[in-house]
Formats: sequence, structure tokens, C-alpha cells
Amino acid sequence: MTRLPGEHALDQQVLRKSNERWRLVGSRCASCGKVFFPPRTLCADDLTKCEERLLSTQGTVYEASHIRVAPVGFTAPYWIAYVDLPEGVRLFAQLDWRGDEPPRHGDAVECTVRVVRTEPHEVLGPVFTGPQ
Amino acid sequence: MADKVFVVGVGMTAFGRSPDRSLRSLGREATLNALRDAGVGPRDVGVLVCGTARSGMLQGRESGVGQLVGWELGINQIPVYNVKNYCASGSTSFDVARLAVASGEHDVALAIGLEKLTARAGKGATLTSDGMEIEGDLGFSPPAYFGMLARRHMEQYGTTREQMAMVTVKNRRFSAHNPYTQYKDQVTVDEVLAAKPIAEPLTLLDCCPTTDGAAAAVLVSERVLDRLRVRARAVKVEASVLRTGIYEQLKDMTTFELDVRSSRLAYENAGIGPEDVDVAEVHDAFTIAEITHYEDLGLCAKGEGGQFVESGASDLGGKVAVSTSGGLLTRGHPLGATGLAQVHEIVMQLRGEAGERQVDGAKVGLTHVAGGFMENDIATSAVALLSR
Ligand SMILES: [Zn+2]
Repeated sequence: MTRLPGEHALDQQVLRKSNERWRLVGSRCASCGKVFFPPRTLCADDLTKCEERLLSTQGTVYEASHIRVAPVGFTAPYWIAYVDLPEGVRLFAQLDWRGDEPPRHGDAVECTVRVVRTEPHEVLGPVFTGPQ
Repeated sequence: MADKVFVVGVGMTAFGRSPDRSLRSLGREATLNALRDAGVGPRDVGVLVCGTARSGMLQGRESGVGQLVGWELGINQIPVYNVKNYCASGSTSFDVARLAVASGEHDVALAIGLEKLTARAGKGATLTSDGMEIEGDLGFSPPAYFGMLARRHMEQYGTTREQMAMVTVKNRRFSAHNPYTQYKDQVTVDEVLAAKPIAEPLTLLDCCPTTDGAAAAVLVSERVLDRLRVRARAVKVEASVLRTGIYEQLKDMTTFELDVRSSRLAYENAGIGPEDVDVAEVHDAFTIAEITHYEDLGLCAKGEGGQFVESGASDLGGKVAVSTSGGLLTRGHPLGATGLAQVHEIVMQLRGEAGERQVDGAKVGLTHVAGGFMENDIATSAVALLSR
């Protein structure tokens, strides 16, 4: 997919390489300390300029669903979830779930970064893993 | 003090898969039906508002759909506002038309909404919500969102899969008596549960279909009711509220704060309470959505939506008949047309013209659309209260 000038691929928007490892990046308000994901330029509460901040790799499942019919570029079945991070953000991501029981509210998950989509363009993004 | 506003004519096309029909053709039919229903001529119209959500992406017609449709009926020269607001594009068209009349600037406003979703120029990108580009790249889709909402509602309130399925069963029953809907086959709870899984626990029959269609309404000021000879069938707009989200991420997914806020404001503006509503059209894009909307719109207490449908409270003869048109689940959801199709159904009900699906003595009706996503929240909500 062709991107227009000023448009960035997902990895440029939300991922940063730190110690040879991809990490999710959000932004933190220098004035009130609120953390935002996706990253933003100004704090929505007080319009202070935000600073980039790497996000925790540990989170908990808020809720999940097993996807049986996939959008273009994805192969069903797979789990998706809203994951809550300790910084106070909630993000949508796939789960690599190998537990015997379905994921539940409150389950601990860890962030990895992988190719999550192949068409119409390759996407590098977060995938959260549960118990292996 | 804003002027009083009345809906004096409604029209729509039959909703369904019409890949061979153009935007022009769909819009012309719905608008002509609305003008004829009102008994108002094209030259009486002082302002035209047109809502579409996807015409640019799918038909290469980003701007000027209102001019296109208007000129099909000889409407020219007047101000035309083209509005785009996710699934609420039709409701937004209605609200802008209301503002135009309530302000005193115009006496006759035409609100149009249309969408053609089955035939697309090119393919590739998923039809997810605008504003969800990052999430879309990670696999987001509206069914995924509502699959999660369903699991949350089940865990927090004990809502059952069967109760969700009952929404489809009820709305299909209504649909059998509505000539404008897409799916009329009757289904059982077991058939809904056994249908193709989409985003667990939701199946294909928990989700609204892909549809083309158009709908329109004529809104007028009180001072022209007699001159245009439209007083006898006029339906009063008691309130129309359009609001956007707070985009709070760590929220309880089982309630839409935005819908609670917009509906409370509509009730307050109208001096009408949820207990006064006889008939409601809500944004039942998914079965669990209708259940959540009962609660957020104050039709029942939080957490009791599953029991509300199971007890028959949202059926004909119940506390408030919901989705008597058949709803999005059976009528389909041509984004820009949906809000005005809801107005169409409520106007038919309040005029006593809804036939087999008529709510006896309906005096107050509600329409509700929750449109689009932004930052894990819904992006816009529209609630209107109509009375007769
Ligand atoms: Zn701040």
C-alpha cells in the first residue's frame, strides 16, 4: 500500500528499538505525567508537549475474543484482546495464546513484537503472549 | 428560544444488495418518496443536507453527493451541506437540517442519507472504522470489539448467549412485516447460536449485513405547517442531540458513557423521560449492542438488558418496543442512510401507519445511532426524541 507524504508505517508510529529489542512507545505529559498510547504531541488535558516513553512489556488482559473470520491480511483463527498496561493505557493487539483455558479478564500477558499482517502491506506490531 | 421543528414527510428505498444501482438512483428514489409523503415540491425546499460515510472511498465521490441527488429532482441554487460522520452520517444530516430550521434561517429543510456498500471500486483495505488505522493494522474489526463487549457483559452481568440471540429472533419477526428490510427469514435461538462463528461468542446472525440504501426526511418550521398543508401528519422533533466521545481508554466496556450522556441530554431537552418512550430504534449493529443500548438509554437498569429482551419488554406489547423496523440486524446498515431510516420507522409508528408492527397508541419515539470508533471508545452518538 502506498503511503502519502507525512504518513508513517505502524512500526514508525508505535515501536522503537531499545537494546536490540523492539518496544512499544507511548508519550508522557511532562506536566501532569499522564501517559498516552498511541503517542501524541500535546497532552489532551493541559496541552503540554509530551515526551516519548517506552511502555511496559507486562500487561493484563482486559477482554479478549477468538476471531474466526479474519479481515484481509490476517489468517483466522486467532485471539485478539484489549490489554491494560500499568501506565494506564489500554491497547488492542493479537494474543499468541497457548493456554488450555481461554484468556480471561486479568490474565497476565507479555509483549513481543512480530509481523502481524502480511497484506496489503507487511506490518510489524505487538503480539502479547500468555502462559507458554 | 429555538423554533419548533416538525418532520412532515419521510421516504426510503428498500434496503438490500443493489450493486447495479448508483448513488444518484438510490438518493433520487428516497428523496422523491419523502417529498411525495410530505406533499411538498422541490421548489419549496430551502436547504438540503446529505449524509454519506464511504462514498469517497467506495465510489470516488468524496464531495457533492447532496448536489448530485438534489439536481436529480430539480433542486438547485439552495445551500447544500454534505456531512460525513461515520455510522451517524444520516443522523448528522437530520440534526443539521433541524438546526437550520430551529435557527429560524430556513422553513423547509431536506435531510438525505445514503450509502452503497456492496459494490466497491477496488478491493483490499478492510471496511473498518476511519480513525482506527493503527488498530486496523493489528487486526481490529467492529465484530472483534463487540465480541469482547459480549464476553465482558456475560461475565459482569450473567447475560447469556441465548439472550443475545433473542434480539435477532425478535428483529427478524418485525422484519417480516416491513417491506424495506433485507432479511425476512425467521430464525430460532438455536439457529443464531449455530450460525458461522465470526468473533466469539458472536455468529453471523449476531451481526448486521452489508447493504445499500437511501432514506430522507422533510423538516419544517411551525409557521409553514398551514401554508404547506402538512399540519395533520406532522411529527414534532422534541429533541435531537449529537455528541462525541471522551476517548477514555480504561473504561468499563459494557457501557457507552457517550450514549448515556447524549440520551440524558435529549430527555432533559425534551422534558420527556425514558419511561415515556413507546417505541425506539437503536443502533443494533450487533445483538449485544442492542442489549447494551437498552441500558445506556435508560430503558432498563444497568446489567438487566439480557433479561429485558428475554422477558419480552422490548417486544410489541412490552415496556418499549425496540427495533420495530427490524433494526440494523435485518434492514442492513448502509451507514449514511441508517439514521434517517430510523426516523422513517418512528414517523410511521407515530402516525399509526406501521401495519402489523404498529405499537398501539405510540406517542413518543426515540432514535439512536452510535457511530465509529476512536481510541477504544465510540466516536459519535446521536439521539432524537419525536412525538405526536
Ligand atoms: Zn498533561
